[in-house]
Amino acid sequence: MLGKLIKHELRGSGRTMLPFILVSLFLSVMAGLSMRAMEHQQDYSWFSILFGIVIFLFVAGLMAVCIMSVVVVINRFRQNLLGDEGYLMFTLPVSVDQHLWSKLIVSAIWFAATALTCMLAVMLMLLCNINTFEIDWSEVGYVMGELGRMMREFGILHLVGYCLELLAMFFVGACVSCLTFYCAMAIGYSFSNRKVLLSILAFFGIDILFSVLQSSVIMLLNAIPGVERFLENLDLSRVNAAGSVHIVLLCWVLYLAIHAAVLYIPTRLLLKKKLNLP
Amino acid sequence: MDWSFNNDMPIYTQLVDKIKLSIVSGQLPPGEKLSTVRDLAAEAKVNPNTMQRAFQELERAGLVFSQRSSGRYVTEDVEIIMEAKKAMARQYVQSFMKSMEQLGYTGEEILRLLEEGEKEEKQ
Amino acid sequence: MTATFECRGLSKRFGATQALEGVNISIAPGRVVGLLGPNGSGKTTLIKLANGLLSPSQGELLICGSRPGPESKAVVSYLPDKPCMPQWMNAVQLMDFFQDFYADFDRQRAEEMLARLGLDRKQKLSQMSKGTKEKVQLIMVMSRKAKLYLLDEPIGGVDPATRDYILDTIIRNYDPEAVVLISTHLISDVEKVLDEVLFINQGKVTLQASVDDIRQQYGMSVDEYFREVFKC
Repeated sequence: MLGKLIKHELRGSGRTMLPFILVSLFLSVMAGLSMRAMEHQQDYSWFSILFGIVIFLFVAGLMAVCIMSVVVVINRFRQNLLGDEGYLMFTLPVSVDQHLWSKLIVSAIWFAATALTCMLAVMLMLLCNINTFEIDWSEVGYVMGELGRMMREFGILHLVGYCLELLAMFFVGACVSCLTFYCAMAIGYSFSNRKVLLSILAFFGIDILFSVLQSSVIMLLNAIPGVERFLENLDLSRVNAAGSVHIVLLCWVLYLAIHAAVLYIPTRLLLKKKLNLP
Repeated sequence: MDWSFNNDMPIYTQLVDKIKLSIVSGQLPPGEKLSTVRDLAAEAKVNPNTMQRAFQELERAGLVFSQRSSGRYVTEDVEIIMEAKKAMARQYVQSFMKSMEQLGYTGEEILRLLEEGEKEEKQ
Repeated sequence: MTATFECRGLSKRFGATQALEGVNISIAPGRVVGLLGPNGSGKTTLIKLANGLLSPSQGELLICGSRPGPESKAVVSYLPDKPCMPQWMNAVQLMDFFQDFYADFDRQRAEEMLARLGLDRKQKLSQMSKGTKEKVQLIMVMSRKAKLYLLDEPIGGVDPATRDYILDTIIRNYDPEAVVLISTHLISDVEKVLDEVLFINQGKVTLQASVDDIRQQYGMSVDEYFREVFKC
């Protein structure tokens, strides 16, 4: 069922995201081509205006993709689960957990797609513009060589590990961002009036709550005798350089996962017990 | 068939009366196969359970019989149909007489009015 | 035999408002039941509770013996009192959606009913008229072979022809193993289609009786009887 939910969620959100992604990729090609044309242009006056417009559109397109990825996260939750469509969604034979997971996974996919789009757009623009800068192949070779040397030094296994850890960090981080919105909306929409206003207030409330929580946890840790000394003596490099990076990354993932769980539990409970469809 | 209903009687008894009328009038001849409960219910816009109950009533009266696999049929026993026809006629006459008496007519006058009515009908 | 739909001492409170109070109902398979009551009497609250869209304050509600959850939702087909289908979908996408999530969805039945409606299958819901939208939604709900159909005000606010179409669809899809619960305040239109009625007023179920019993006992239609009981 989770797979089916994800499939339909991708369909529902792809309707909005894909056009934005395609348009911004198209604009990056246009921007690259107009840069190239600019090189050969003698009379700049009218062309520079056009050029300016294309570059502006290119930047605006990328920004739009970034903004839309967040808007889609909020809107899909609001319309699909808390609006009229909620009557359909919450009477499907699936659990609230499956609903939340499908939304989180698809949101993470769109965040990743947004990041890839931005990279791809810049690359496309440069590729279309390739003859404007001379590639120093020896430079490229040097960089590749360095990379190869680093890989050998760290070991492939460590690198794969880093990639997985970074991916996990990205996913859990995306979940934290989404769940902050979800939790705020679940709170706001459990009231019968002023749902949007209350959601916004809840959003800031959660934000403040978490900064307070974080600082108090740090203060608490500092207050415990011995902790400071323990941290000072904790010499990660003793493990070895590659291993210490793993520890830092995994701790970070753990921290984000706790953050996500603290947001997930009330969201789930509110959707289960305090659902208030229009 | 006319599928309008009165408000003051159970729907299933009205269904029984309507189907009975179709049988005694020959609209549904002896041995005729009847539509399924579901189809008839849809036609009359009534609940299939109500239609089922009406058929059970008709079966009890012997006007309709069901064969396990092939469906329901009007009885082939003409005597039962005639019997039902007479019973219905008696019922109509009774209610007619009652209404006429309420209007103040008596036996002789009623007969005369009936004859006049019949002549008018022929013209 | 377990009842298809059962409430035991079911109560629901919203803050200070008592929406349902001590409701006891039991409905056996094969019945078409009308949930009748004035506006704001608790009809929608009861149906939402049965769908797990609300949780009871007290008591319990059982569908085929189990509390509302993914398991019960697989055998309950629900028509809300408002359009809830994603408006960007067309009929084909809707059928795909239902087929994916409901094992009891009979695609062929849905296709046939849509064909009878003479609908452009590729037309988006957002481009359909209000009446057509409601018919499409009803077709999806009635194309499932569910154990319990919960229809919340299916005939409220539609024209008489659509009303006939809806009632006809309900009769034609009648399943002797299933329960159909129809909530409405337009009694005269649905009366002929019902086996039983539940009168609900101010959150309390005041009567559960068969339509023909009411007619026999009181010599009047359920509609007339309802008007007498709920006279203001």
